[in-house]
Amino acid sequence: MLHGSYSYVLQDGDGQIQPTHSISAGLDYPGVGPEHAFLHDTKRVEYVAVTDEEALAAFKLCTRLEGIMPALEPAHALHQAGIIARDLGPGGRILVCLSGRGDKDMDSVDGG
Amino acid sequence: MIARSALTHPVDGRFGTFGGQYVPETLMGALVELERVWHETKADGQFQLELAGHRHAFIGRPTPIYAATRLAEHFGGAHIHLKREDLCHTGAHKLNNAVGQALLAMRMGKKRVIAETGAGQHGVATATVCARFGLECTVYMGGEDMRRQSMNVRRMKLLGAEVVEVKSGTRTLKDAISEAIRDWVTNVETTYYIIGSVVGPHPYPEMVRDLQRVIGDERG
Amino acid sequence: MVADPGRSPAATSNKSRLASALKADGDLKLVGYMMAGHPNRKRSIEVGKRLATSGIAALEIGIPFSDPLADGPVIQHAGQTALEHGMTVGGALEIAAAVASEGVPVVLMTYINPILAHDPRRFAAEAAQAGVAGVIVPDLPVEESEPVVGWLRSTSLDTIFLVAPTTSEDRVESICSHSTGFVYCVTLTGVTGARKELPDGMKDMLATVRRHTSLPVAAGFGISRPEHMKALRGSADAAVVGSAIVSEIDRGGDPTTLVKELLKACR
Repeated sequence: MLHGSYSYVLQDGDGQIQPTHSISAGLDYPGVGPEHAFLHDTKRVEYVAVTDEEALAAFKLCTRLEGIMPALEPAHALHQAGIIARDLGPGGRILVCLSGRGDKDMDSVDGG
Repeated sequence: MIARSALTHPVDGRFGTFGGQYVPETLMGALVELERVWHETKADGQFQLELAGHRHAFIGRPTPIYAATRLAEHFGGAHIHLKREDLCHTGAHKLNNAVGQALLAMRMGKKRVIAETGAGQHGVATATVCARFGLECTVYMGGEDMRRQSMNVRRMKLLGAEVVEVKSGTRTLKDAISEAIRDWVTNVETTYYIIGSVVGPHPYPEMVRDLQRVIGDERG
Repeated sequence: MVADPGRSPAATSNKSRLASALKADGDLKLVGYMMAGHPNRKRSIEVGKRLATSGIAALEIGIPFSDPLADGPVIQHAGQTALEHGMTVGGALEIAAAVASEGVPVVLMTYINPILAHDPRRFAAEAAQAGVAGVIVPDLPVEESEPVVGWLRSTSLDTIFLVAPTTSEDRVESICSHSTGFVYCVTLTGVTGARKELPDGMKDMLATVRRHTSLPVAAGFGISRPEHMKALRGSADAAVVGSAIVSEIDRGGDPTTLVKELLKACR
Protein backbone atom coordinates (compact mmCIF):
# COMPACT_ATOMS: atom_id res chain seq x y z
CA MET A 1 0.00 0.00 0.00
CA LEU A 2 1.67 3.19 -1.14
CA HIS A 3 0.34 6.64 -2.03
CA GLY A 4 -3.29 5.71 -1.66
CA SER A 5 -3.62 2.49 -3.56
CA TYR A 6 -3.13 -1.22 -3.05
CA SER A 7 -0.65 -2.68 -5.50
CA TYR A 8 2.74 -4.39 -5.74
CA VAL A 9 5.34 -2.37 -3.83
CA LEU A 10 8.94 -2.92 -2.85
CA GLN A 11 8.83 -3.36 0.92
CA ASP A 12 10.44 -5.25 3.79
CA GLY A 13 8.68 -7.77 6.01
CA ASP A 14 7.50 -4.96 8.27
CA GLY A 15 5.78 -3.01 5.49
CA GLN A 16 8.46 -0.32 5.26
CA ILE A 17 8.86 0.90 1.68
CA GLN A 18 12.38 0.14 0.44
CA PRO A 19 14.80 2.46 -1.40
CA THR A 20 15.05 1.94 -5.15
CA HIS A 21 17.72 2.59 -7.70
CA SER A 22 17.32 3.22 -11.39
CA ILE A 23 19.52 5.17 -13.77
CA SER A 24 16.24 6.59 -15.04
CA ALA A 25 14.72 9.06 -12.57
CA GLY A 26 11.28 8.45 -14.07
CA LEU A 27 11.44 4.77 -13.12
CA ASP A 28 12.98 5.26 -9.69
CA TYR A 29 9.78 4.35 -7.86
CA PRO A 30 9.08 1.40 -5.52
CA GLY A 31 5.64 0.55 -6.88
CA VAL A 32 3.50 -0.04 -9.96
CA GLY A 33 0.04 1.25 -10.79
CA PRO A 34 -2.87 -0.89 -9.55
CA GLU A 35 -4.08 -1.74 -13.06
CA HIS A 36 -0.61 -3.06 -13.93
CA ALA A 37 -0.75 -5.28 -10.83
CA PHE A 38 -4.14 -6.55 -12.02
CA LEU A 39 -2.96 -7.16 -15.60
CA HIS A 40 0.06 -9.00 -14.22
CA ASP A 41 -1.99 -11.24 -11.93
CA THR A 42 -4.53 -12.03 -14.64
CA LYS A 43 -1.63 -12.80 -17.04
CA ARG A 44 -2.87 -10.33 -19.62
CA VAL A 45 0.51 -8.58 -19.69
CA GLU A 46 3.99 -9.93 -19.21
CA TYR A 47 6.35 -7.63 -17.29
CA VAL A 48 10.13 -7.92 -17.70
CA ALA A 49 13.03 -6.40 -15.74
CA VAL A 50 15.78 -4.58 -17.65
CA THR A 51 19.07 -3.42 -16.09
CA ASP A 52 20.64 0.06 -16.20
CA GLU A 53 23.43 -1.24 -18.46
CA GLU A 54 21.00 -2.82 -20.93
CA ALA A 55 18.95 0.39 -21.12
CA LEU A 56 22.10 2.47 -21.67
CA ALA A 57 23.23 0.17 -24.48
CA ALA A 58 19.80 0.43 -26.14
CA PHE A 59 19.87 4.24 -25.73
CA LYS A 60 23.20 4.41 -27.57
CA LEU A 61 22.15 1.92 -30.24
CA CYS A 62 18.91 3.74 -31.10
CA THR A 63 20.69 7.10 -31.15
CA ARG A 64 23.45 5.88 -33.48
CA LEU A 65 21.39 3.67 -35.77
CA GLU A 66 18.20 5.72 -36.11
CA GLY A 67 19.21 9.28 -35.29
CA ILE A 68 16.55 9.23 -32.58
CA MET A 69 17.69 9.79 -29.01
CA PRO A 70 15.20 7.98 -26.74
CA ALA A 71 14.61 8.83 -23.09
CA LEU A 72 16.16 6.30 -20.71
CA GLU A 73 12.66 5.14 -19.71
CA PRO A 74 11.67 3.77 -23.17
CA ALA A 75 15.30 2.67 -23.72
CA HIS A 76 14.42 -0.15 -21.30
CA ALA A 77 11.64 -1.18 -23.69
CA LEU A 78 13.95 -0.91 -26.71
CA HIS A 79 16.32 -3.40 -25.10
CA GLN A 80 13.49 -5.89 -24.68
CA ALA A 81 12.31 -5.20 -28.25
CA GLY A 82 15.73 -6.37 -29.41
CA ILE A 83 15.36 -9.66 -27.54
CA ILE A 84 11.87 -10.23 -28.88
CA ALA A 85 13.00 -9.30 -32.41
CA ARG A 86 15.72 -11.95 -32.34
CA ASP A 87 13.13 -14.43 -31.10
CA LEU A 88 10.58 -13.62 -33.81
CA GLY A 89 13.06 -13.34 -36.66
CA PRO A 90 12.24 -11.83 -40.11
CA GLY A 91 8.51 -11.34 -40.58
CA GLY A 92 7.90 -10.54 -36.93
CA ARG A 93 6.39 -7.16 -36.03
CA ILE A 94 7.06 -5.14 -32.91
CA LEU A 95 5.63 -1.77 -31.93
CA VAL A 96 7.46 0.16 -29.22
CA CYS A 97 5.93 3.19 -27.56
CA LEU A 98 8.82 5.63 -27.60
CA SER A 99 7.42 7.64 -24.72
CA GLY A 100 9.90 10.53 -24.76
CA ARG A 101 13.14 11.95 -26.06
CA GLY A 102 16.50 11.59 -24.37
CA ASP A 103 18.02 15.09 -24.34
CA LYS A 104 17.33 15.26 -20.59
CA ASP A 105 19.39 12.10 -20.03
CA MET A 106 22.61 13.11 -21.80
CA ASP A 107 24.40 13.82 -18.51
CA SER A 108 23.46 10.40 -17.08
CA VAL A 109 24.60 8.67 -20.26
CA ASP A 110 27.92 10.55 -20.48
CA GLY A 111 28.62 9.73 -16.86
CA GLY A 112 27.64 6.07 -17.32
CA MET B 1 -11.78 -15.31 -18.42
CA ILE B 2 -11.68 -11.70 -17.34
CA ALA B 3 -14.78 -9.62 -17.63
CA ARG B 4 -13.90 -6.80 -20.01
CA SER B 5 -15.81 -4.33 -17.91
CA ALA B 6 -13.43 -4.99 -15.03
CA LEU B 7 -10.59 -3.72 -17.17
CA THR B 8 -12.15 -0.51 -18.36
CA HIS B 9 -14.26 0.46 -15.37
CA PRO B 10 -12.75 -0.29 -12.01
CA VAL B 11 -15.43 -1.54 -9.62
CA ASP B 12 -15.52 0.49 -6.41
CA GLY B 13 -12.24 2.06 -7.47
CA ARG B 14 -10.50 -1.27 -7.86
CA PHE B 15 -8.92 -3.33 -10.61
CA GLY B 16 -9.59 -6.74 -9.11
CA THR B 17 -8.21 -6.45 -5.59
CA PHE B 18 -5.83 -3.62 -6.53
CA GLY B 19 -6.34 0.14 -6.23
CA GLY B 20 -8.70 1.78 -3.75
CA GLN B 21 -8.54 5.05 -1.84
CA TYR B 22 -6.20 4.74 1.14
CA VAL B 23 -5.81 8.41 1.94
CA PRO B 24 -6.32 10.72 4.92
CA GLU B 25 -9.98 11.61 5.49
CA THR B 26 -9.26 15.24 4.52
CA LEU B 27 -8.88 14.13 0.87
CA MET B 28 -11.89 11.82 0.66
CA GLY B 29 -14.35 14.57 -0.27
CA ALA B 30 -12.01 15.82 -3.00
CA LEU B 31 -11.57 12.32 -4.46
CA VAL B 32 -15.31 11.66 -4.52
CA GLU B 33 -15.81 15.01 -6.27
CA LEU B 34 -12.96 14.34 -8.71
CA GLU B 35 -14.39 10.96 -9.67
CA ARG B 36 -17.84 12.45 -10.26
CA VAL B 37 -16.53 15.38 -12.33
CA TRP B 38 -14.19 13.16 -14.35
CA HIS B 39 -16.92 10.73 -15.36
CA GLU B 40 -19.23 13.60 -16.23
CA THR B 41 -16.49 15.44 -18.15
CA LYS B 42 -15.29 12.39 -20.04
CA ALA B 43 -18.79 11.90 -21.44
CA ASP B 44 -19.13 15.57 -22.45
CA GLY B 45 -18.75 16.04 -26.22
CA GLN B 46 -17.74 19.67 -25.77
CA PHE B 47 -14.82 18.65 -23.53
CA GLN B 48 -13.70 15.98 -25.99
CA LEU B 49 -13.76 18.52 -28.81
CA GLU B 50 -11.73 21.01 -26.79
CA LEU B 51 -9.26 18.28 -25.83
CA ALA B 52 -8.94 17.19 -29.45
CA GLY B 53 -8.15 20.79 -30.44
CA HIS B 54 -5.36 21.05 -27.87
CA ARG B 55 -4.01 17.65 -28.85
CA HIS B 56 -3.73 18.77 -32.45
CA ALA B 57 -2.46 22.33 -32.20
CA PHE B 58 -0.68 22.39 -28.84
CA ILE B 59 0.73 18.88 -28.38
CA GLY B 60 1.23 18.17 -32.10
CA ARG B 61 -0.83 14.98 -32.37
CA PRO B 62 -1.27 12.57 -33.99
CA THR B 63 2.28 11.34 -33.59
CA PRO B 64 3.68 9.16 -36.40
CA ILE B 65 4.62 5.52 -36.34
CA TYR B 66 8.17 5.18 -37.57
CA ALA B 67 9.83 2.10 -39.09
CA ALA B 68 13.18 1.68 -37.34
CA THR B 69 14.79 -0.23 -40.18
CA ARG B 70 18.41 -0.07 -39.06
CA LEU B 71 17.53 -1.23 -35.52
CA ALA B 72 15.45 -3.99 -37.12
CA GLU B 73 18.38 -5.08 -39.24
CA HIS B 74 20.67 -5.00 -36.19
CA PHE B 75 18.30 -7.27 -34.27
CA GLY B 76 17.92 -9.92 -36.96
CA GLY B 77 15.24 -8.68 -39.32
CA ALA B 78 11.90 -8.48 -37.46
CA HIS B 79 10.06 -5.22 -38.15
CA ILE B 80 10.46 -2.69 -35.34
CA HIS B 81 8.17 0.34 -35.27
CA LEU B 82 8.32 3.27 -32.90
CA LYS B 83 5.29 5.28 -31.82
CA ARG B 84 6.91 8.70 -31.75
CA GLU B 85 5.68 10.20 -28.45
CA ASP B 86 9.10 11.88 -28.28
CA LEU B 87 7.76 14.26 -30.94
CA CYS B 88 5.03 15.60 -28.63
CA HIS B 89 5.44 19.18 -27.46
CA THR B 90 7.81 19.16 -24.44
CA GLY B 91 9.30 15.88 -25.64
CA ALA B 92 7.24 13.18 -24.00
CA HIS B 93 3.81 11.58 -23.71
CA LYS B 94 3.30 13.36 -20.37
CA LEU B 95 1.53 16.30 -21.97
CA ASN B 96 -1.40 14.09 -23.10
CA ASN B 97 -2.35 13.67 -19.46
CA ALA B 98 -1.40 17.12 -18.21
CA VAL B 99 -3.56 18.94 -20.79
CA GLY B 100 -6.61 16.84 -19.93
CA GLN B 101 -6.22 17.27 -16.18
CA ALA B 102 -5.56 21.02 -16.48
CA LEU B 103 -8.87 21.38 -18.36
CA LEU B 104 -10.49 19.44 -15.52
CA ALA B 105 -8.86 21.66 -12.90
CA MET B 106 -10.34 24.73 -14.60
CA ARG B 107 -13.75 23.07 -14.81
CA MET B 108 -13.57 22.51 -11.06
CA GLY B 109 -12.65 26.15 -10.51
CA LYS B 110 -9.17 25.46 -9.11
CA LYS B 111 -6.58 28.16 -9.75
CA ARG B 112 -3.59 26.41 -8.22
CA VAL B 113 -2.02 23.20 -9.53
CA ILE B 114 0.56 20.96 -7.89
CA ALA B 115 2.47 18.03 -9.33
CA GLU B 116 5.29 15.64 -8.53
CA THR B 117 8.04 14.79 -10.94
CA GLY B 118 10.84 12.23 -11.18
CA ALA B 119 12.81 12.79 -14.38
CA GLY B 120 11.16 16.15 -14.75
CA GLN B 121 9.05 15.36 -17.82
CA HIS B 122 5.74 15.40 -15.96
CA GLY B 123 6.84 18.53 -14.10
CA VAL B 124 7.69 20.24 -17.39
CA ALA B 125 4.36 19.11 -18.91
CA THR B 126 2.44 20.45 -15.90
CA ALA B 127 4.39 23.73 -15.84
CA THR B 128 3.68 24.02 -19.58
CA VAL B 129 -0.10 23.60 -19.31
CA CYS B 130 -0.19 25.96 -16.32
CA ALA B 131 1.57 28.60 -18.42
CA ARG B 132 -0.82 27.91 -21.30
CA PHE B 133 -3.97 28.19 -19.16
CA GLY B 134 -2.81 30.78 -16.62
CA LEU B 135 -2.73 28.53 -13.53
CA GLU B 136 -0.42 28.84 -10.55
CA CYS B 137 2.00 25.88 -10.50
CA THR B 138 4.11 24.18 -7.82
CA VAL B 139 6.17 21.08 -8.65
CA TYR B 140 7.67 18.76 -6.03
CA MET B 141 10.94 17.11 -7.04
CA GLY B 142 13.42 15.02 -5.07
CA GLY B 143 16.76 16.69 -4.37
CA GLU B 144 18.63 13.80 -6.00
CA ASP B 145 16.48 14.10 -9.15
CA MET B 146 16.96 17.88 -9.30
CA ARG B 147 20.68 17.22 -9.48
CA ARG B 148 20.52 14.65 -12.27
CA GLN B 149 17.80 16.48 -14.26
CA SER B 150 18.94 20.07 -13.89
CA MET B 151 17.89 21.00 -17.42
CA ASN B 152 14.26 20.17 -16.69
CA VAL B 153 14.43 22.17 -13.44
CA ARG B 154 15.49 25.20 -15.49
CA ARG B 155 12.68 24.59 -17.99
CA MET B 156 10.05 24.44 -15.24
CA LYS B 157 11.30 27.65 -13.66
CA LEU B 158 11.31 29.46 -17.02
CA LEU B 159 7.72 28.31 -17.50
CA GLY B 160 6.83 30.07 -14.27
CA ALA B 161 6.54 27.09 -11.92
CA GLU B 162 7.85 27.00 -8.40
CA VAL B 163 10.05 23.91 -7.99
CA VAL B 164 10.18 22.64 -4.41
CA GLU B 165 13.15 20.49 -3.47
CA VAL B 166 12.08 17.42 -1.46
CA LYS B 167 14.69 16.50 1.11
CA SER B 168 12.90 13.69 2.91
CA GLY B 169 13.43 9.93 2.49
CA THR B 170 15.31 8.86 -0.64
CA ARG B 171 14.85 12.29 -2.31
CA THR B 172 13.35 10.75 -5.43
CA LEU B 173 9.94 10.29 -7.07
CA LYS B 174 8.37 8.45 -4.11
CA ASP B 175 9.15 11.27 -1.71
CA ALA B 176 8.07 13.90 -4.24
CA ILE B 177 4.63 12.21 -4.43
CA SER B 178 4.41 12.02 -0.61
CA GLU B 179 5.20 15.72 -0.33
CA ALA B 180 2.73 16.64 -3.07
CA ILE B 181 0.01 14.67 -1.24
CA ARG B 182 0.86 16.54 1.99
CA ASP B 183 0.49 19.83 0.12
CA TRP B 184 -2.84 18.63 -1.26
CA VAL B 185 -4.06 17.66 2.23
CA THR B 186 -3.22 21.20 3.35
CA ASN B 187 -4.60 23.12 0.36
CA VAL B 188 -7.27 20.76 -0.96
CA GLU B 189 -9.94 23.44 -1.19
CA THR B 190 -8.01 25.63 -3.64
CA THR B 191 -5.65 23.18 -5.29
CA TYR B 192 -5.82 20.53 -8.00
CA TYR B 193 -3.21 17.75 -7.92
CA ILE B 194 -2.13 16.56 -11.40
CA ILE B 195 -0.64 13.09 -10.87
CA GLY B 196 1.58 12.11 -13.79
CA SER B 197 1.44 8.32 -13.72
CA VAL B 198 -1.17 5.59 -13.28
CA VAL B 199 -0.58 5.55 -9.51
CA GLY B 200 -2.25 7.14 -6.49
CA PRO B 201 -5.78 6.76 -5.15
CA HIS B 202 -8.81 6.13 -7.37
CA PRO B 203 -9.77 7.79 -9.74
CA TYR B 204 -6.21 8.81 -10.73
CA PRO B 205 -5.00 5.50 -12.21
CA GLU B 206 -8.15 5.26 -14.33
CA MET B 207 -8.10 8.93 -15.33
CA VAL B 208 -4.41 9.03 -16.34
CA ARG B 209 -4.95 5.84 -18.36
CA ASP B 210 -8.01 7.31 -20.10
CA LEU B 211 -6.07 10.43 -21.06
CA GLN B 212 -3.11 8.40 -22.39
CA ARG B 213 -5.19 5.95 -24.43
CA VAL B 214 -4.99 8.39 -27.33
CA ILE B 215 -1.57 6.83 -28.04
CA GLY B 216 -3.20 3.47 -28.74
CA ASP B 217 -6.27 4.94 -30.42
CA GLU B 218 -4.06 6.53 -33.09
CA ARG B 219 -2.80 3.18 -34.34
CA GLY B 220 -3.05 2.58 -38.08
CA MET C 1 -19.63 -1.90 5.09
CA VAL C 2 -20.83 -1.56 8.67
CA ALA C 3 -19.57 -4.62 10.53
CA ASP C 4 -22.56 -4.92 12.82
CA PRO C 5 -25.32 -2.40 12.22
CA GLY C 6 -27.21 -3.69 15.24
CA ARG C 7 -24.56 -2.47 17.64
CA SER C 8 -24.96 1.17 18.55
CA PRO C 9 -21.92 3.27 19.44
CA ALA C 10 -23.54 4.04 22.80
CA ALA C 11 -23.73 0.36 23.68
CA THR C 12 -20.06 -0.04 22.81
CA SER C 13 -19.01 2.98 24.79
CA ASN C 14 -20.31 1.38 27.99
CA LYS C 15 -17.62 -1.24 27.70
CA SER C 16 -14.87 0.96 26.30
CA ARG C 17 -12.04 2.07 28.58
CA LEU C 18 -11.23 4.82 26.11
CA ALA C 19 -14.77 6.17 26.06
CA SER C 20 -14.85 6.49 29.85
CA ALA C 21 -11.31 7.87 30.05
CA LEU C 22 -11.85 10.58 27.46
CA LYS C 23 -15.31 11.87 28.37
CA ALA C 24 -14.87 15.43 29.66
CA ASP C 25 -16.06 15.86 33.24
CA GLY C 26 -15.93 19.62 33.43
CA ASP C 27 -12.23 19.47 32.61
CA LEU C 28 -10.90 18.95 29.12
CA LYS C 29 -9.01 15.65 28.89
CA LEU C 30 -5.52 15.52 27.42
CA VAL C 31 -4.28 12.77 25.09
CA GLY C 32 -0.52 12.57 24.53
CA TYR C 33 1.41 11.16 21.59
CA MET C 34 4.84 9.64 21.22
CA MET C 35 6.58 7.68 18.48
CA ALA C 36 7.62 4.15 19.41
CA GLY C 37 11.40 3.85 19.25
CA HIS C 38 12.06 7.59 19.16
CA PRO C 39 14.76 8.54 19.81
CA ASN C 40 15.55 4.90 20.62
CA ARG C 41 13.86 1.89 22.20
CA LYS C 42 15.13 2.34 25.74
CA ARG C 43 14.40 6.03 26.05
CA SER C 44 11.06 5.61 24.33
CA ILE C 45 9.93 3.21 27.10
CA GLU C 46 11.17 5.60 29.82
CA VAL C 47 9.42 8.58 28.26
CA GLY C 48 6.25 6.55 27.69
CA LYS C 49 6.09 5.49 31.34
CA ARG C 50 6.61 9.07 32.50
CA LEU C 51 3.91 10.34 30.18
CA ALA C 52 1.58 7.54 31.34
CA THR C 53 1.61 8.89 34.89
CA SER C 54 1.67 12.59 34.03
CA GLY C 55 -2.08 13.13 34.24
CA ILE C 56 -3.01 12.44 30.61
CA ALA C 57 -6.23 10.51 29.91
CA ALA C 58 -4.72 8.32 27.17
CA LEU C 59 -1.51 7.96 25.21
CA GLU C 60 -1.23 7.49 21.48
CA ILE C 61 1.84 5.53 20.44
CA GLY C 62 2.91 5.85 16.81
CA ILE C 63 4.33 2.86 14.95
CA PRO C 64 6.80 4.30 12.45
CA PHE C 65 6.14 3.99 8.72
CA SER C 66 8.54 5.00 5.95
CA ASP C 67 5.97 7.14 4.10
CA PRO C 68 3.67 8.86 6.60
CA LEU C 69 1.34 10.94 4.38
CA ALA C 70 -0.63 12.56 7.20
CA ASP C 71 2.37 13.68 9.22
CA GLY C 72 4.30 16.93 9.27
CA PRO C 73 8.08 17.29 9.60
CA VAL C 74 8.34 16.65 13.38
CA ILE C 75 6.61 13.27 13.40
CA GLN C 76 8.17 12.31 10.04
CA HIS C 77 11.57 12.90 11.55
CA ALA C 78 10.73 10.97 14.73
CA GLY C 79 9.52 8.01 12.66
CA GLN C 80 12.60 8.04 10.48
CA THR C 81 14.87 8.15 13.55
CA ALA C 82 12.99 5.21 15.07
CA LEU C 83 13.31 3.19 11.85
CA GLU C 84 17.03 3.98 11.61
CA HIS C 85 17.39 2.58 15.12
CA GLY C 86 15.72 -0.63 14.02
CA MET C 87 12.19 -0.13 15.33
CA THR C 88 9.69 -2.69 14.04
CA VAL C 89 5.95 -3.34 14.44
CA GLY C 90 6.80 -6.08 16.94
CA GLY C 91 9.15 -3.76 18.82
CA ALA C 92 6.49 -1.06 18.95
CA LEU C 93 3.98 -3.53 20.40
CA GLU C 94 6.50 -4.37 23.15
CA ILE C 95 6.87 -0.67 23.97
CA ALA C 96 3.08 -0.32 23.99
CA ALA C 97 2.80 -3.24 26.43
CA ALA C 98 5.40 -1.72 28.76
CA VAL C 99 3.64 1.66 28.75
CA ALA C 100 0.12 0.19 29.06
CA SER C 101 1.24 -1.68 32.19
CA GLU C 102 1.30 1.73 33.92
CA GLY C 103 -2.48 1.76 33.59
CA VAL C 104 -2.97 4.44 30.95
CA PRO C 105 -5.17 3.50 27.96
CA VAL C 106 -2.85 3.16 24.95
CA VAL C 107 -3.98 3.88 21.39
CA LEU C 108 -1.77 2.74 18.52
CA MET C 109 -1.51 5.07 15.54
CA THR C 110 -0.01 3.75 12.34
CA TYR C 111 -0.58 3.45 8.61
CA ILE C 112 -2.31 0.57 6.89
CA ASN C 113 0.78 -0.85 5.15
CA PRO C 114 2.70 -1.96 8.27
CA ILE C 115 -0.51 -3.55 9.61
CA LEU C 116 -1.06 -5.45 6.34
CA ALA C 117 2.57 -6.56 6.19
CA HIS C 118 2.45 -7.76 9.81
CA ASP C 119 -0.83 -9.60 9.05
CA PRO C 120 -3.84 -7.70 10.41
CA ARG C 121 -5.23 -10.67 12.38
CA ARG C 122 -1.90 -11.24 14.08
CA PHE C 123 -1.57 -7.48 14.67
CA ALA C 124 -5.01 -7.37 16.30
CA ALA C 125 -4.25 -10.33 18.55
CA GLU C 126 -0.83 -9.02 19.58
CA ALA C 127 -2.11 -5.49 20.22
CA ALA C 128 -4.92 -6.80 22.41
CA GLN C 129 -2.48 -9.00 24.29
CA ALA C 130 -0.20 -5.97 24.82
CA GLY C 131 -3.08 -4.30 26.64
CA VAL C 132 -3.72 -1.77 23.88
CA ALA C 133 -7.15 -0.09 24.01
CA GLY C 134 -7.61 1.12 20.44
CA VAL C 135 -6.13 1.72 16.99
CA ILE C 136 -6.11 4.75 14.66
CA VAL C 137 -5.15 4.30 11.00
CA PRO C 138 -5.11 7.73 9.31
CA ASP C 139 -4.96 6.39 5.76
CA LEU C 140 -7.86 3.99 6.21
CA PRO C 141 -11.13 5.77 5.45
CA VAL C 142 -14.39 4.03 6.45
CA GLU C 143 -15.05 2.86 2.86
CA GLU C 144 -11.84 0.81 2.86
CA SER C 145 -11.98 -0.24 6.50
CA GLU C 146 -13.24 -3.81 6.16
CA PRO C 147 -12.07 -6.46 6.80
CA VAL C 148 -9.22 -4.99 8.88
CA VAL C 149 -11.48 -3.12 11.27
CA GLY C 150 -13.60 -6.22 11.84
CA TRP C 151 -10.49 -8.13 12.90
CA LEU C 152 -9.41 -5.35 15.26
CA ARG C 153 -12.88 -5.21 16.84
CA SER C 154 -13.03 -8.96 17.27
CA THR C 155 -10.18 -8.70 19.78
CA SER C 156 -12.08 -5.92 21.61
CA LEU C 157 -9.85 -3.12 20.30
CA ASP C 158 -11.58 0.21 19.72
CA THR C 159 -11.32 1.55 16.18
CA ILE C 160 -11.12 5.32 15.97
CA PHE C 161 -11.85 7.10 12.70
CA LEU C 162 -11.02 10.67 11.78
CA VAL C 163 -13.33 13.50 10.77
CA ALA C 164 -11.74 16.36 8.79
CA PRO C 165 -12.91 19.93 8.15
CA THR C 166 -13.63 18.84 4.56
CA THR C 167 -15.84 15.91 5.64
CA SER C 168 -19.46 16.25 4.49
CA GLU C 169 -22.22 15.75 7.06
CA ASP C 170 -23.35 12.40 5.62
CA ARG C 171 -19.76 11.18 5.87
CA VAL C 172 -19.63 12.45 9.49
CA GLU C 173 -22.61 10.23 10.23
CA SER C 174 -20.95 7.20 8.65
CA ILE C 175 -17.62 7.85 10.39
CA CYS C 176 -19.34 8.18 13.77
CA SER C 177 -21.23 4.93 13.24
CA HIS C 178 -17.95 3.14 12.43
CA SER C 179 -16.05 4.56 15.43
CA THR C 180 -15.77 3.10 18.89
CA GLY C 181 -13.89 4.51 21.90
CA PHE C 182 -13.92 8.08 20.62
CA VAL C 183 -14.17 10.13 17.44
CA TYR C 184 -11.07 12.01 16.32
CA CYS C 185 -11.65 15.47 14.81
CA VAL C 186 -8.81 16.81 12.71
CA THR C 187 -9.07 20.52 13.47
CA LEU C 188 -7.45 21.77 10.26
CA THR C 189 -6.84 20.82 6.63
CA GLY C 190 -3.23 19.75 6.76
CA VAL C 191 -0.71 17.40 8.28
CA THR C 192 0.26 16.97 11.93
CA GLY C 193 2.38 19.68 13.54
CA ALA C 194 2.09 22.49 16.04
CA ARG C 195 0.32 25.67 14.85
CA LYS C 196 0.05 29.09 16.44
CA GLU C 197 -3.71 29.34 16.07
CA LEU C 198 -6.55 26.91 15.59
CA PRO C 199 -8.97 27.53 12.72
CA ASP C 200 -12.24 29.44 13.18
CA GLY C 201 -14.55 26.70 11.93
CA MET C 202 -13.34 24.22 14.54
CA LYS C 203 -16.19 24.69 17.02
CA ASP C 204 -18.83 24.23 14.33
CA MET C 205 -17.19 21.00 13.23
CA LEU C 206 -17.05 19.68 16.80
CA ALA C 207 -20.73 20.57 17.23
CA THR C 208 -21.65 18.74 14.01
CA VAL C 209 -19.81 15.62 15.15
CA ARG C 210 -21.55 15.76 18.54
CA ARG C 211 -24.93 15.65 16.83
CA HIS C 212 -24.01 12.27 15.38
CA THR C 213 -22.38 10.49 18.30
CA SER C 214 -22.55 10.02 22.04
CA LEU C 215 -18.88 8.97 22.08
CA PRO C 216 -16.27 11.38 23.41
CA VAL C 217 -14.98 13.74 20.73
CA ALA C 218 -11.25 14.47 20.65
CA ALA C 219 -9.64 17.30 18.69
CA GLY C 220 -6.17 16.89 17.22
CA PHE C 221 -3.57 18.29 14.75
CA GLY C 222 -1.93 21.63 15.45
CA ILE C 223 -2.76 21.68 19.17
CA SER C 224 0.24 22.68 21.25
CA ARG C 225 -0.47 25.66 23.53
CA PRO C 226 -2.38 26.39 26.75
CA GLU C 227 -4.65 28.85 24.89
CA HIS C 228 -5.66 26.02 22.53
CA MET C 229 -6.84 24.03 25.57
CA LYS C 230 -8.92 26.97 26.74
CA ALA C 231 -10.44 27.32 23.27
CA LEU C 232 -11.39 23.64 23.18
CA ARG C 233 -12.89 23.44 26.67
CA GLY C 234 -16.62 23.05 26.38
CA SER C 235 -16.59 22.02 22.70
CA ALA C 236 -14.35 18.94 22.77
CA ASP C 237 -13.99 16.19 25.37
CA ALA C 238 -10.29 15.82 24.79
CA ALA C 239 -7.35 17.42 23.03
CA VAL C 240 -4.59 15.40 21.36
CA VAL C 241 -1.10 16.89 21.59
CA GLY C 242 1.45 15.20 19.34
CA SER C 243 4.19 17.16 17.60
CA ALA C 244 4.76 19.51 20.57
CA ILE C 245 5.49 16.50 22.83
CA VAL C 246 7.59 14.78 20.16
CA SER C 247 9.68 17.97 19.67
CA GLU C 248 10.35 18.02 23.41
CA ILE C 249 11.45 14.36 23.35
CA ASP C 250 13.58 15.07 20.29
CA ARG C 251 15.55 17.82 22.00
CA GLY C 252 16.12 15.54 25.00
CA GLY C 253 13.79 17.43 27.30
CA ASP C 254 11.10 16.18 29.69
CA PRO C 255 7.72 16.27 27.92
CA THR C 256 5.81 15.97 31.20
CA THR C 257 6.65 19.62 31.96
CA LEU C 258 4.71 20.63 28.84
CA VAL C 259 1.91 18.18 29.73
CA LYS C 260 1.54 19.71 33.21
CA GLU C 261 1.45 23.22 31.79
CA LEU C 262 -1.24 22.20 29.30
CA LEU C 263 -3.25 20.33 31.95
CA LYS C 264 -3.53 23.53 33.99
CA ALA C 265 -5.28 25.15 31.05
CA CYS C 266 -7.67 22.18 30.78
CA ARG C 267 -9.31 22.94 34.10
